[in-house]
Amino acid sequence: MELPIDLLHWTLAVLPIAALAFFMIQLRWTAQQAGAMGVIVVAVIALAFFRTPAETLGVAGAKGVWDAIFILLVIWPALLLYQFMVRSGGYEAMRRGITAMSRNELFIVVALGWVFTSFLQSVDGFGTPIAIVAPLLVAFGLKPVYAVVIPIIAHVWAKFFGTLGVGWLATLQVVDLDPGTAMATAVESSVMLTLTALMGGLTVVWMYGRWAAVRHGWPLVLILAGIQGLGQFPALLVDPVLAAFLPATAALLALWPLSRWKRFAEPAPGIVDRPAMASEALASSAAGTGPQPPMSTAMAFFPYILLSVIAVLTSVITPLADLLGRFTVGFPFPAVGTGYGVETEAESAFSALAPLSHPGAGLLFTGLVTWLVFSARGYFRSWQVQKETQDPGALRGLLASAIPASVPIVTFLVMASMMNHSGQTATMALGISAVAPAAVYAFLANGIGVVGAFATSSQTSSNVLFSALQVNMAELKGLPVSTVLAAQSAGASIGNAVGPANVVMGASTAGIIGREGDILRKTLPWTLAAAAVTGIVTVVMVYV
Amino acid sequence: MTHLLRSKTFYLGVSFVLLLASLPLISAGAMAEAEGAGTSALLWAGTASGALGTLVLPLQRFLTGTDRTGDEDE
Repeated sequence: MELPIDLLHWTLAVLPIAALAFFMIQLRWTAQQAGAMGVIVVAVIALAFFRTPAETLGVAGAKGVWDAIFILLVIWPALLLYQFMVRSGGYEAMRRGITAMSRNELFIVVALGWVFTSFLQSVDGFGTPIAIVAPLLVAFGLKPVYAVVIPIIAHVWAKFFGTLGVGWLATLQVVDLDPGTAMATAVESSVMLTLTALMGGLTVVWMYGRWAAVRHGWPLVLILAGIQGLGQFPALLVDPVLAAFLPATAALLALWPLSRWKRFAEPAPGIVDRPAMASEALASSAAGTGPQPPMSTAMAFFPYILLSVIAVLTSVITPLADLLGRFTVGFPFPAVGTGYGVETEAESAFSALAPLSHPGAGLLFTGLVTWLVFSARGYFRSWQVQKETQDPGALRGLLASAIPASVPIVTFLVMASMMNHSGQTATMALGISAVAPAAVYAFLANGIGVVGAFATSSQTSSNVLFSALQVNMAELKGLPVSTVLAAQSAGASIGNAVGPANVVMGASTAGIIGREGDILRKTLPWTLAAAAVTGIVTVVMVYV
Repeated sequence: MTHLLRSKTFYLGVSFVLLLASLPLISAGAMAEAEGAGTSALLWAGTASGALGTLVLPLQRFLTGTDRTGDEDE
C-alpha cells in the first residue's frame, strides 16, 4: 500500500464525513439526501484523487448494500412490531403501567432509557435497543427527539462487550494479542467504559430536568453506573463476552429495590423545568383521560419479555446458537484494488449472514407471535373502536416508515465501504498518526474509533477497520498496545452516539423521520465531551 | 416527473429498489469478469442501478426545490 499521506489527501479523505455532517446538521437535509450526497462526494474523491477504478467502487458499493442488510433485518421487524403495538393500544397500556410503577418520572426515564436499553444492547445489537426503546419513551411522554437521544447516549457503554461480546471477539479476530495483553485491553477498556456509563447516566438525568434533576438523581446515577461499569471487572474474570450482559442484568434487577426507595418512588417536586417531557402527554397521563387500552400492562410488555428471552436463549445456549448459525448466505466478490495499492481480497461469501441467529429473526418471530396473540384476543379491533378511527393496516404503515428508514442506512454503509476500499479511511487514520507525537496520539486514539463508528454506525466495524492500525501505531510510537486498543474500543463505542444509522433507526420508530439533524445536534456535544474525557484517561493510563 | 418526485413513497421506493438491485448484479457481474468472461454487462448494469438509486435522492430536492413530500405521504 502506497497511500499518499499528505495534507491534501488527508483533507480529501475527511471531506465525505464532514460533508455528511454538514448536510445533516447545518443544512438540515433529510438523512436520505445527506447520505446520498456523502456517497457522491466519496465516489468523486475516490475516482479523482485516490486512483480508484469504477469497478472497485461498484464492488465497494455492493458490499455496502450487503452490510446495510444486517441492519435492515432489524429495522423492518422492529417497525412491524411497532405497528402491531400502536394498532392494538399496546403502547398506551404500557405508558399507563409504567406511570403507575413509580410516581417519579425521572426514575422511569432512567429505568427505560438507560437501564433497559443497556440490557437490550448486552444481548442484542444492530440498533435494536434504540428501535425498541425510543417508542416506549414516546409512549411514556418524552418528546420524540429526546426519546431517541437518551437511549442512544445511555447505551453506548455496553457496545464493546455487548451483543454477548461481538465487538470484543471481532477485535481478537483482527489483531494477534497474547493472553496478557488481551486481558489488559479488556480491563482498560472497562475503565474507560465505566466513565462512559457514568457520563451517559448523568446526561440522561440532566436532559430530563437539568441541574435540579442531577441534584435529585445523582445517587441513582452513581449506583447504576457503579453496577454497570464496575460490574464489568468481575464479569471479565468469568468471560469477557459476558462483560456487558452480567452487569446490565444486575442493573436491571437493581431497579426493583431502587423503586422502593422513597426518594425515587414519589414525584420530585423540586424538578420544575423538564425540557425532555411533552406537556400534553403529561397532562393526559395525569388526568388518566383518553381511550382505555384493551390490554393489561403485563400483556403490553409480553412482546419485549419474549424478545429478551429469545435473545438470551439463542445466545447463551451454545448448541442452539450453533444450530441457528449453521445456515449462512453471502454474495461472492472478486479481489479489487486501487492505483495506490489498496487491495481487497476475493471472498466466496462476503460477510456471510446467518439469518436465523440474527437479532432480526428473534424480532420477526416476536412480531408474528404478538400479532397472533393480539388478534386472537381482539385487541386490534377493540382499540380501533375505542379510538373511533379506521385502521389503514399494519403493512401499509410498515412500508411508509421502513422505506424512509432503510434508504439512508444503505447510503451510509455504501459510503463507508467506498471510503474503505478506496483507501480514504486508512489515509485519515494514517494522517493523524503521522503528525501526532506519542502523547497527542494517545489522546486522539479514541477519536479514530469515534470516526470509524460515525462512518459505519457500528462499534464492531470501527474496531475491525482500525484495530490493526492502532496496534501498529502503538508499537511505532512506543505506547502500550493494550491502552491504545482500549482507547480505540471505547472511542468506537462512544461514536455510536453519532452513528447516522442509529439516529435514523431511532427517528423511524419514534415517528420523527427527517429530524435526524435535531438528534445529532444533541448527541454530538456529548460525543465530543466523552471522547475528550477518554483521551485524557488514555494519556493518564499511559504516563502515570 | 416533478409530480412523481413529490411523492415520498415513490422516490424513496425507487431509490431503495435500485440500490438493492445493484447488489446481486454487481456481485454476479464482477465475478464473471474476474473469471475471464470479458467485460460484464451485469457489472455495469449493477453500477448504474446503484448510481441512479443514489442520484434520485438529491435530484428530488433540486428538481422540486424542496424536500417536502406529497400530501398522501404526510
